[in-house]
Amino acid sequence: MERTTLRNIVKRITSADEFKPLLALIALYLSSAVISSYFLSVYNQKILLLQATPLVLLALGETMIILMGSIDLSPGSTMALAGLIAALSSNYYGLDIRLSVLIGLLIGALVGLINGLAVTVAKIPSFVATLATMVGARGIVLLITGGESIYGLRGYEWLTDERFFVANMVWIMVVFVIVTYVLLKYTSLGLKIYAIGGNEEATRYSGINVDRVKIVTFTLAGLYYSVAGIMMDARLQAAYPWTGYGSELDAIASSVLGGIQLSGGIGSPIGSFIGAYILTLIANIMVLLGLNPYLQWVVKGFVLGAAAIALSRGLRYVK
Amino acid sequence: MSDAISKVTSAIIIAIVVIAIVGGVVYWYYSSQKPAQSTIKIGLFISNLGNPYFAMLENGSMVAVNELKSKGVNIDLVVYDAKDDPTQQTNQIETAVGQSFSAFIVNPTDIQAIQPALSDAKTHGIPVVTTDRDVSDKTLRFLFVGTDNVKGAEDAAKALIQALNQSGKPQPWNVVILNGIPGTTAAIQRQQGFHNVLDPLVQQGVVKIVAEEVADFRRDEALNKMEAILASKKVDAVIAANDEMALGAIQAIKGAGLKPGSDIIVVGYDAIPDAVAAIKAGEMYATIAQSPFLQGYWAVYAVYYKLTKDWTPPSDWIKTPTVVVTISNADTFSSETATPQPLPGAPS
Repeated sequence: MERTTLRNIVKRITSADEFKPLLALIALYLSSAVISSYFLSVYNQKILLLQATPLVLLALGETMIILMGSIDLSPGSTMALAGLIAALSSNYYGLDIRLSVLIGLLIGALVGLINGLAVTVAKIPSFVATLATMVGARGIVLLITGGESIYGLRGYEWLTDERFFVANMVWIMVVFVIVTYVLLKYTSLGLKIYAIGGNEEATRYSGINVDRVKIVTFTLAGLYYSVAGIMMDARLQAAYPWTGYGSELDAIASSVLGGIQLSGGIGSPIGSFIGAYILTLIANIMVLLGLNPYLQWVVKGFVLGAAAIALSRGLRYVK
Repeated sequence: MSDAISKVTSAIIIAIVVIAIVGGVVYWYYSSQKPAQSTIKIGLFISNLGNPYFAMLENGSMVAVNELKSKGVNIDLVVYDAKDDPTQQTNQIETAVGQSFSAFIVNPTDIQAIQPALSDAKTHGIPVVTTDRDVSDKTLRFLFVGTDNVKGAEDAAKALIQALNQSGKPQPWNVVILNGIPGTTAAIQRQQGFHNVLDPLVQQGVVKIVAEEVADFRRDEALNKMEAILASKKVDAVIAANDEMALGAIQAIKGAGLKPGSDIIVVGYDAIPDAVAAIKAGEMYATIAQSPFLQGYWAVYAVYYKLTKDWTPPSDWIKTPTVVVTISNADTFSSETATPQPLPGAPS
């Protein structure tokens, strides 16, 4: 009797969505600690957290979209636009820092809302709709800045100040991970998101307003990206116009490494948090080892490919 | 009655038509035929006018054209902006080839992509000067006016060594190099310039290159790379192939609890406003300013001499000067690089 329950527990753990990514993370941690004596230093662990934090926010937003079976290419541009607008509000127009951040967050949510409306009302496939906002938002950033950073930001350093050993922005990230987990697993919105990714047609027939769920989720994702953008403002102490250029691919890669199926409906936000951490860790250890910069890209690609193979084992087919 | 009116009406219509045709022919004769023989019409093709650097280049050309105009030269400049899109630049050049241009000044968006358009210009006998970026096939232009990035980078590395000497840090000095986007001309030449100065010092044991990373000319990328480098290495100085990367490195140095400028010396390249502010704040030691103004200014004069005096430049690359910007000239360098200077090798 007891043996069966123990076996059940083991089975439950090993079959959890987060199990494989977590195992990979632990394996990478152990091997990194062995090959570089600097890896486990307090400083290095702190910068790992700092570097992973904005990417985790992007990955969480992206995960919600992918769980619906859609894709979002706008994270990088949205974060740049939100970070820029917040920086302009506080630095250029002299608004209160809290108000400026709020404006930045609203801009991110607005970009997400546009994505949501484009996908549902205009019926543009998410890949195309978000490609358009990705290009458009970056264009707005470059138009406003002319390619130059807004520098000399004040007030944003609160995010990089430390409290209980790590920076405030890391704690914010932890809160976002927990909130996203609860949202997806324990609220009706979360269940609907999983349902849409599992079988959108059936979900529509069951009377759920799928379009509304999509609009809300895209808007929410835009909000997450803008949080990342404001964090980058704090990290660089400048609104850098090329912030997050190419980050959409890192966000998607984080989700894939975290066991989120691109076809939708399967995966956990904890997984994509781990995925983002793995990506950051790989970049970190390669610099610690002083690996040839060109080889670093090859290794990154190889890890992504290997992870995808490991994660799709046991599936009958993929799209 | 109605017959008479229609006669008058038709006479008026015929008169209008005749006047319009005669007027049009006369206007056409005077406006396009006659001045085309005496006016110098230059097409200036800029890769991206949204970039302040290239706006300075355009400004230099304007100043040169206005100077020539005030001397009574009949010269005109038409400016095209490709917004960094090689396809658009190709279209602009191809369209302009069909119009009555005497010469082109081209700031290519890409060293390869615009070659077909330039060979089109060549077959139509339009002389071409390239500025800031050259094209791969050098027979397509008679002159390139641009920065010697290798020399600029050598100057940057020398400034770094000078700062290290003054700092009194014990040798060997641990230096980090941050490189730009692999394969781009600027990244290759600046990397070469750094190594030209640093490599002999490495052999003498004065300098040790503890890390050489690629950060794609990006600030956020440089921040992440530099943070990781600081986790495993003791660093005395950083030299970066552009200011964005230098500023990212400065953020990483601050994050590690060190003081940029005294604990770790940082040198950049490009003299963007942000970097000049960092130099004034003592966080950055030096950067390199180029002279886009002179590129545009000299290109116009080169074209003018070519067309009027059949001038041949002393070499097919006229190098525009670079200026090392430190705290001593941080306020004055921009007027230094935006002052007209005579074109080297100009005919008397």
